[in-house]
Amino acid sequence: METDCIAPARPRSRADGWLDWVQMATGAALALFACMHMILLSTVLFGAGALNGMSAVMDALHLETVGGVLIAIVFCVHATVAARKIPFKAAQAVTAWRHARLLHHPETWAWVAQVATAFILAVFITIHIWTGLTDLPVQALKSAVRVQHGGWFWVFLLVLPALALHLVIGAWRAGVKWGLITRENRADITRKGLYLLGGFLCLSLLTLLRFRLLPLE
Amino acid sequence: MQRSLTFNIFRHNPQDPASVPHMDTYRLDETDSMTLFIALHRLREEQDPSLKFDFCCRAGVCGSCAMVINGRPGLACHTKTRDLPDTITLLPLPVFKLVGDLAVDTGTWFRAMYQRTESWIHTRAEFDPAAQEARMENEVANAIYELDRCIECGCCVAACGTANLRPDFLAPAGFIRVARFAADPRDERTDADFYEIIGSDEGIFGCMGLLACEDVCPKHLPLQNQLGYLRRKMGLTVLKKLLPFGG
Repeated sequence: METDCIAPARPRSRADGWLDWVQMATGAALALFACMHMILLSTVLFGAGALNGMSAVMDALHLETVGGVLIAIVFCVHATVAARKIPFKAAQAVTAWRHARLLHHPETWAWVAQVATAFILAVFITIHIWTGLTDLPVQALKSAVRVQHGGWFWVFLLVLPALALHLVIGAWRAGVKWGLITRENRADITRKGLYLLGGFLCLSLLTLLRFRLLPLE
Repeated sequence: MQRSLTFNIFRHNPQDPASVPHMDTYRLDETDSMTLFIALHRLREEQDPSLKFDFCCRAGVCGSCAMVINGRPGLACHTKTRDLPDTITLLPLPVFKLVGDLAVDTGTWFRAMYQRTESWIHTRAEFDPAAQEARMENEVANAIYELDRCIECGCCVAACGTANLRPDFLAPAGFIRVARFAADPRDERTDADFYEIIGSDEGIFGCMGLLACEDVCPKHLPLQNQLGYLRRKMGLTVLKKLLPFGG
């Protein structure tokens, strides 16, 4: 670090502070939506009728269209704002990778995993939002057809763990950054985060399996 | 049973244009209560007098002997060889300018950081050398002391992902320095003043919350809690600007 400047010549821009808020707020909104989306989809575990009934109510209230468009906007904003922290330059990426390998530090590896899953999610969720919004309302049969044809089952098998990891690591790191996770409660909250990760994974994979096995007739 | 330790040590002299960075291997028999500091001295005295590394206090006070020990930044004088495997890899701290082999120049970095954080008490009070020192509650004094225990070893900086990626990042050592003055009632700087120093991506908003700093600090400074505290403080300073009564 080199500096000859002792005091800034003019007031510092507020942009970085705002962007930090936007990143956290959009991330929190997307995490809550992902959990809600997964819970609502998992109603298919009780039968196709349960999911279709719930979806019909939401569609009647225009929640699927309005909510879908809003989530698409929030997703784009989050991806754009959060990308400024990703080391895109080759030299930076190599430094980050070497640093993680050298340090053997779980939280540093978790950040690497969060960056890697961000790329997977950026591609898949863009496709998922488009295919979802152009084929509303959500219905068990339509989702089952999608999962059972065109190799989408395997794509979901990659994306669902990526989503769970990105979501839990992101929430954990936001908690650390803003001081909600402290030295005193770190171990406890980390353990609860792992439970959340396991729970989300189990629910999402069970739901995926149900769509895979749902009769198409 | 006495172990034979293998040391893989980074060697390079940046002052010598012919020097090529490489690793040298040494072997040494372990002795009781051997620290890395003792081992390095024995290697230099018995095997290779050209080996460069910094040391001073050998008691974890001066911070000079910080290096990367099997991947993790730490103090050589604080690290017992019995806590390490048979093969030990030693590298200089990243981020800082390399002096040679395991020795780095932390002084230049810390001086720049002190200038950037304006690391002194800002007050308009006239100094009266004849007056008694202003009294302070013991609780406040202890809180300041807790934040003032940094020995400037640079371990937190070397372990910080952001500091490794961007050289202009203030890093945990800089943040705890700011937190120390923010806690001092004699310092008249406001949150808005501190925002001018750390309210950016080179400052507190660049912290990614990886907590390697917290985990490697040899003095166990409360880095995690202070990083969270400063981010909240600076985040609220931004929000206050939006409010008509926020200033």
